[in-house]
Amino acid sequence: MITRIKEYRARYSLTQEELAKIVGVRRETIVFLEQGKYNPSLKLAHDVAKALHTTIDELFIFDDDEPGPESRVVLVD
Amino acid sequence: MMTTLRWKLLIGCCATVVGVLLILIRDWLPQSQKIPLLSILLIMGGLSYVVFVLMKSWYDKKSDVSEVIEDERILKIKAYTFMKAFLFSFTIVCILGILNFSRLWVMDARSAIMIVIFTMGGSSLLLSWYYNRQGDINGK
Repeated sequence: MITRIKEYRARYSLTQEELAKIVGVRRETIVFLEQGKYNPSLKLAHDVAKALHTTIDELFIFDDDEPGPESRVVLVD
Repeated sequence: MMTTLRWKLLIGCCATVVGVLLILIRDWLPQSQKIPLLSILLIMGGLSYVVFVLMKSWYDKKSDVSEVIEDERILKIKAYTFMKAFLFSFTIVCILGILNFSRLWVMDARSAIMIVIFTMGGSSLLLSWYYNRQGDINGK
């Protein structure tokens, strides 16, 4: 998982500590989120996205090799 | 609703009060020669706990609040750590039970209890350290 939290944080001139305070988590959690080591809950992902004025899918990028459901097209004929 | 701090203080005070009560009623209890030791342990433990809780609360208020938050990551690691530590200890108990049942290693209850305590405590400390270092329970 790749996150763009650092990029968005820099855009709004927020420190890790400040973002952690806004979201209500420890600074270490923000550090692990930025490093892509922590898989957050939907609630935390939403809170972080809201704090950085963006959406979850803009902030978290999953590097899945598997194709998505929209690419699984079954031809009947 | 009582806060966590008040609950902790209540537990410490209760232990102290029970210790004092045990000394007062020791003549009516069986094995009264062991009561003073138990009372001293309860009183000392209770008072130490109260002092520790008060000092920690004072330190937390003084320092930055964000450093003491138990967020979802910490709670997730704690829950997973305790589950794994319990399963590990349960496995050890099963092995000890089999060894004892087959008379390969006969042990008394005191040794068995100490093994369980140290296994559970040690494994939970080790796992907690490991998962906190990784950042998540399934760290990459």
